[in-house]
Amino acid sequence: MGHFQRRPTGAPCPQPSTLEGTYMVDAVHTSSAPMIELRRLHRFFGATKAVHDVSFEVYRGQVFGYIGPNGAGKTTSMRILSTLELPSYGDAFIDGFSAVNDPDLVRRRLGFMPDGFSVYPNMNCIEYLDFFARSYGMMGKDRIQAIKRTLGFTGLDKIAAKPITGLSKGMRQRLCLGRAMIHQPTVLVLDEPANGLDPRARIELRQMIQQLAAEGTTVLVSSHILTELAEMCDQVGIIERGKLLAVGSVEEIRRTMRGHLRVRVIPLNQQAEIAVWLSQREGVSELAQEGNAIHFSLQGGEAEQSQLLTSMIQSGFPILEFAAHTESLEDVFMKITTGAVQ
Amino acid sequence: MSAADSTLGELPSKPAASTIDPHAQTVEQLLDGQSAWDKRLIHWSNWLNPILVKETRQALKSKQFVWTFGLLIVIVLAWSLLGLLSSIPNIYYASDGRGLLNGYLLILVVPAWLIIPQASFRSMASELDDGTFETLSLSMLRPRHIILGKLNVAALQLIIYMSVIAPCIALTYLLRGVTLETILFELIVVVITTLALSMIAIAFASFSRSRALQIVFSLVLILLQLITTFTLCSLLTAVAWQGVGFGSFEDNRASWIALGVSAFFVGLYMWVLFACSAALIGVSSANTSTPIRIPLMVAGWLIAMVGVAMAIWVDIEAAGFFLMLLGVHWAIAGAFIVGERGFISTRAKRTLPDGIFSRLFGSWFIPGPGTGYVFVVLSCLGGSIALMISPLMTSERLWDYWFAMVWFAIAINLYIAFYLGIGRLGAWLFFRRMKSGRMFTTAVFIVVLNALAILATCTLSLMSSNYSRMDYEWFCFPNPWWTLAEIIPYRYRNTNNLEELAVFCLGVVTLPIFLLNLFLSAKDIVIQRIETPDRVMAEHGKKNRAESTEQSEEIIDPLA
Ligand SMILES: Nc1ncnc2c1ncn2[C@@H]1O[C@H](COP(=O)(O)OP(=O)(O)O)[C@@H](O)[C@H]1O
Ligand SMILES: [Mg+2]
Repeated sequence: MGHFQRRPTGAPCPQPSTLEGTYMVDAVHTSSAPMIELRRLHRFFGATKAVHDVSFEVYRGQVFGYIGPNGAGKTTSMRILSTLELPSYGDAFIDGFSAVNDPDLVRRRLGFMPDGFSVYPNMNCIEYLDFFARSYGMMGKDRIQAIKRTLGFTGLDKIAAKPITGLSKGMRQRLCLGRAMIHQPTVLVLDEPANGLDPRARIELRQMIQQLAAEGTTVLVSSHILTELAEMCDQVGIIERGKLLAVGSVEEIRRTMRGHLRVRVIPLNQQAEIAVWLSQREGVSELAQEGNAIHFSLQGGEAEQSQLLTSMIQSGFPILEFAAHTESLEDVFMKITTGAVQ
Repeated sequence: MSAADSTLGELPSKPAASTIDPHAQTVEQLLDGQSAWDKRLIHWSNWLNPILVKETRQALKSKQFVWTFGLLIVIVLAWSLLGLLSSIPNIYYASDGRGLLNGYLLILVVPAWLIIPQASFRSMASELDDGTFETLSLSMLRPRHIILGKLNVAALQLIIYMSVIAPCIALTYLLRGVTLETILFELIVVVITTLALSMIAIAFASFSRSRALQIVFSLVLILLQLITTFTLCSLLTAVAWQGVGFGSFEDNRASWIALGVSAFFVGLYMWVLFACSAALIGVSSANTSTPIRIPLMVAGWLIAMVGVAMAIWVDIEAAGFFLMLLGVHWAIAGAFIVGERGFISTRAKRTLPDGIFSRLFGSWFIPGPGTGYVFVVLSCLGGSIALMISPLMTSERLWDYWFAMVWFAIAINLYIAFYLGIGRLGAWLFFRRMKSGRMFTTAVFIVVLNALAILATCTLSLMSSNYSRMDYEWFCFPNPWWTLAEIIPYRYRNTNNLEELAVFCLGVVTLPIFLLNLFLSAKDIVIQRIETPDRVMAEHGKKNRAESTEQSEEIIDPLA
């Protein structure tokens, strides 16, 4: 395991000898525990650090948005949480039960909707749900009740007798969600559920997730688009290249970025001189020239904005247009992530 | 919709659910079943393995099953007609039932031994390939339930095919020449073989983690099926024509005993395979090693016990034969066990033996190559000692034979301790970092080592005699097969003392290897058990899922 010796800066990386699992403490706590907890989770595939020291907590009834570009490590950490994979180091907990040590107890409480959908041939929706209800040990009336509830919730009752192979993407996602929630789990883990859905289906999906959360289900939902989740999430975590870069409510994350304005200046001429002049000012960063316009990031608020404009004009630059706006969620996301892939 | 409206208008007091919501009705019908027969079936299916229910539903819709089933009926009918027509003139006094029976059996064997195991293999392999296995393992079904479900499916298919044949076989019984005993014997052979082949197929599918391995295993499976079918078809034919006490077995009892013993061992090794495949599918931090060691140990002891019984009551030379079987059993099992990963997860630590007594006897069940090595060597030794004592318990006193057997037993045990010890050390040195396929690699390593020893000794022997003869010389000691062949009890002639020297040298070399391995396994044995947290114990105690969610809410939310 020599390649793990290359330690990154920042958070201390566990040494190879401890990676073989001497950690993995039994941590069962009883009260005021988070429903979902990732604790120093690591997962390596050879030299790839798919998940690298990720920790966060989600409390009952919350919706946690897990956001990151493709290959960030979302699926891997969700699979570990769902007991489908083992961590290289660290642990994940559902309701205080370890996904590594007590997978059976975790599975009772958890519904997982993977990003891909695997079908059995020669089956219809109702048989599919019936099979999984049986697999969860439901018998007789219980099972029938559960299937009816699930069909009703997901709106699949109209096509209950349709073969799965003929379902549209949106319907498949509903069936997949139905499968994940047939045993009324207290925690739902949804891996990119909105991927490939049309706008209407997306909205319906969001409504379903919000309804589940309102009923007390804790939801962990991933996406590679922040704006897609921003409205419905109580908290978001932004992950890239296996590392959690930011956690908090959307507002909190925006606030850490506050104090930055995106400014666009269009001068009549003298672009080069203005750019040089700007680059020497304090608080100006990310200077870029795009055609006639000059874009940059300005630290501070409206006072700094007007001060900059005043001194620009006093310096005699011919300004045609000066526009500033706070950063959008997309800007925040772009700023937090670097766009690098592994 | 207008019909519903008018109904509502006319009969406002009627509960409108059924007319207003036709879909709910369909859902209910689909779930509860429409006819009384449906309802009863659905009710009973509550207690069946979910996989059995699911795959039965799928099979009823699949073309392949319908075709096989239809074809079987057609062929059986054709054969019945042919058989009856050809015997019409003398049906009352000729004993033609035997030929008919033989035909039916050979027809049954095609779906039972060729199609069913293939279906099991493909069903398991596609489950693992398509990711449906993962969604399944998220539920309350454990790997063992899934494997059991697939076995159930194979059994059900067999029952269906047999039910097609059943009336015809009853017909042959009405004809002359076929006894009930013969029919029973034949059907037992068919059933056991089908289940064994299906178990092997499922195990092969769970072992093939990659595409390439899957192709290799499916080829091996087909080969195995063909060999089994050809050899056992001749058995079926012989029994059909000559009755249960066929061929060399003079009386029926011997045949039944042979069948019983074989069935017993087939069942035992099915259990071993079952444990292995349950351990290999899915990822888990659980202790997967101990559940395999237990059936292995039981199988090892039963081999020894059957050998002892045979030596005492049937033939004293059985002891030597069963000694060889025991050696093969532990050599194969050990080659894999010494390649285990030494790492014991927290979850596995909860299952470790605790207390002086259980630590004394249970320590060799702790996962890991070191304990595994000692486990294999000690188990083999134990069985060998039992087999060595058995000739002494007979009234005959064949001292020469007994001495030969003692040498033979010592040699077998030493070779196992030697090669497995080297294999375990090799795995420890070279494959320590390997995460998957380590056991398989170690087994291959041991086989290669053994093959090299055989090659080297044979070449040396040929060279020393100028390529004219192959004589057993002192440098042939590393070749276990040759040495064992030299001292195999019935050939044993005390001509020169080379064999004793070989055993002695082997002992001198093996002792340090054994001690080194024992020393290395000490680190596994001192690992302490971790107590399972109370909350986990309490949760596991609960059967009812609804109850458990209520409980956990209580604990989590003290304000509620
Ligand atoms: N089974 C695997 N073997 C090797 N590398 C893997 C495996 N699974 C995931 N990875 C790698 O781990 C990284 C994270 O993947 P993933 O968790 O799927 O990202 P995301 O879901 O955020 O798109 C990627 O670089 C991916 O190539
Ligand atoms: Mg993904």
